[in-house]
Amino acid sequence: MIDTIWLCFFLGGIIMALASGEPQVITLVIMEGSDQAVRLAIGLIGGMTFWLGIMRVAEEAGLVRLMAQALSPLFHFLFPSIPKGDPAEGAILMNISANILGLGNAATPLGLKAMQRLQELNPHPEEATPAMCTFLALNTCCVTLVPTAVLAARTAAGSLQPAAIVAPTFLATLAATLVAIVADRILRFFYIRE
Amino acid sequence: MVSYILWLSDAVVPLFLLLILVVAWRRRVRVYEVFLAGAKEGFELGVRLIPYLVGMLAAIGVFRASGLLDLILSPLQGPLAALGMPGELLPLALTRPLSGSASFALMADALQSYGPDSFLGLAASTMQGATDTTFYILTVYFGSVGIKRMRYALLAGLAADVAGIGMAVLLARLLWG
Repeated sequence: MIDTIWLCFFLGGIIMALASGEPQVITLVIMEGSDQAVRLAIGLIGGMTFWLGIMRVAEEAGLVRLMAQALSPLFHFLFPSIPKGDPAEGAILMNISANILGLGNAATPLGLKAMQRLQELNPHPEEATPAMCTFLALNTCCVTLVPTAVLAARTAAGSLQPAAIVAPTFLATLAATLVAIVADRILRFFYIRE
Repeated sequence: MVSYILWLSDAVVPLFLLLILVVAWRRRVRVYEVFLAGAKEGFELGVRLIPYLVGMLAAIGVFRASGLLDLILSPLQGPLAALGMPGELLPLALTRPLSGSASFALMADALQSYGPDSFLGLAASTMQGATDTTFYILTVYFGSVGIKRMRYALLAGLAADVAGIGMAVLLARLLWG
């Protein structure tokens, strides 16, 4: 999919530039863009290094576990099909908590572990269960407290108020999560009746 | 309400930092050592991003400088304006669910072209953070356990993307529009 988009950007752009009689623009813009990209990546290193360090401290301090405890009352509402105390419960809660805290590196292995356990509970191994759909719907839009990479990019671009986007980002991810939960419930109802 | 949201934005990061450090201190984590262990990955991450950023920024540069972007956007301008979506950010909105690194590059491009504190720069930053890469997550997670029929998971994920991006634009208009 992303291959097609990338190809279209280049093919369309080059043909368009040739047709409008300004082919030299292409060379210039490619060199400029590449140069900008490297400067941006270098500029990101400071901010990302700091946040990755702090996030490791958060992990080590057990913040993921604390968050998972805080979220556990919601679990049986979201995943009615998973029995109480099942190993899937811990893995799912930890994955969602790690996502909320912005610990993407820690979240993925926990999420894959959760999927393994959900697959063991699955009567039709090639077809997604409702619990899997709910879990992944939540994963595609997770509530974000601190969007660290965006903060670093804004700082690198010379923003005077890099953090201005933190609260709106949080609210937007919250809205997306609520929609994911509602959409998942509605769609589940229709798919059972198919 | 608006001023409260803006205050919260400024306060969340320091408060979050405070929380992490206090919990770590109470639990006797060797904070500086652990910090350094995590921070080591920062440089690598920046370097690892370079090919993605070069690929995407060059492509979007060609796409825009050739005039093709404007050509495609001009008929869409009317309906997009009715929805409140700035046309300049449409490529970002469409790419966000497909590829995190591509949309990150598009956001970086918006920060460079329009300025990080302009309406478009702020809206682009909020959109990038507002949702995650739905297609990537579904592919990796379902792929890892061999699920072939993902049923309605994609629809639910995309509904959330639309909501997140829509909300990002709405809030950007409200706060900075």
